[in-house]
Amino acid sequence: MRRRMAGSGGLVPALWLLVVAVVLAAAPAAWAQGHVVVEGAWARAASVGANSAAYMRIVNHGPDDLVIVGAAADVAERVEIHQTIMEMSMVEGRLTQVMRMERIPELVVPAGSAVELVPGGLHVMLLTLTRELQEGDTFELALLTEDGGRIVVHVPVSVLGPAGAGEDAHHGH
Amino acid sequence: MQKRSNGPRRILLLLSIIVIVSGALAAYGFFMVNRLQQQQRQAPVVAATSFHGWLLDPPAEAPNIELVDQYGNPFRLSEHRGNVVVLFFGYTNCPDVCPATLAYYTQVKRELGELADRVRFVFVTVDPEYDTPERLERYISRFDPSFYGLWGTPEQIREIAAEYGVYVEKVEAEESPVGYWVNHTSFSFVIDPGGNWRLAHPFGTHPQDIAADLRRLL
Repeated sequence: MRRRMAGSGGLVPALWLLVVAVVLAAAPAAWAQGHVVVEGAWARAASVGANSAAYMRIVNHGPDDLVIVGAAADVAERVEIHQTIMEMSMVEGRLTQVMRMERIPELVVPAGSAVELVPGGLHVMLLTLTRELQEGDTFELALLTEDGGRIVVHVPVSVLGPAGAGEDAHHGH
Repeated sequence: MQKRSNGPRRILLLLSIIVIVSGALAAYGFFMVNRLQQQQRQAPVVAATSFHGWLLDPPAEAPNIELVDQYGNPFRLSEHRGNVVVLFFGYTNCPDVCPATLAYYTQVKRELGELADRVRFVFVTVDPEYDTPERLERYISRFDPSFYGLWGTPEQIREIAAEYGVYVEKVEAEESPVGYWVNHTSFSFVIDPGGNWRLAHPFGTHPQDIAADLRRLL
């Protein structure tokens, strides 16, 4: 009597589906364009009309320097790259700590290196949000390059950022 | 021997299993490397006997604060003896450091667990002309409605900021929706249950380290 493997007709495609699922699950949340990979992007939740910021790590695997001259997103009326600078200075004879921001018209990611945009440092400023950014939302942000290119990044929204602002979730006390 | 018609199928099945197992091993390997990289980026362990924040030594009585909170209720620092008060000066239009600080405070509160009942997180606006108590209420509630958002007249704010050594300067900025940014000192100040000013944490201090310092004062 010939025996057929029960259900073997559907089993193999299902297994391949599983392979694809496993591979996709293992892939980092990274958006790649040419030699540039943007990792760990996120933006802070905020109300409509408020200001917020997006953060990420831009990795340039290519042979040429990457020059980012701006950014665009339709969740804000105006999008610019800024840097927060912590300074100590003498003010009226007293050593004073001051935090200020500076607009960055050109952000250079040298060939073979990475630049991190993190709270308290470089950030993509989202000015006058056109809609509320809620934990769990995602929006598209385009990094505009000097040569007229656009690197599109899908940015998830949260209050604390990935894994709670970089904390190791497994760290025990 | 009878030729099996499902021979090729079996080979395909075996191949699929090999690919899945390899894929799973690769995924596992990737996660382990990622975890290792994360561990390497963690802050090094600091001696448990010292505070992480900058220490005010000897401790000084914290300058009094009498302002109005986001719900319109009077706030007096002196009424919070017995609790630890964590104090920050900022403004609601600030896109980066101020929301980051309040977000870190939510993490500090979580770290503390039940001890958080004896900690008060206080945000004082350095832009009282734009930030009203109503605006502060919307802003603060996004992080934790139990945090305090304090408002006062420009004169009151100027005086309190000066007493805490907080520098405040409005600078014109064309890109700002309100036409300016406010440069300001970004320390978190910690006042102990006795009403003494004990610590200052620079922006970026790890929430776990702030929580560890607060535990020592409670």
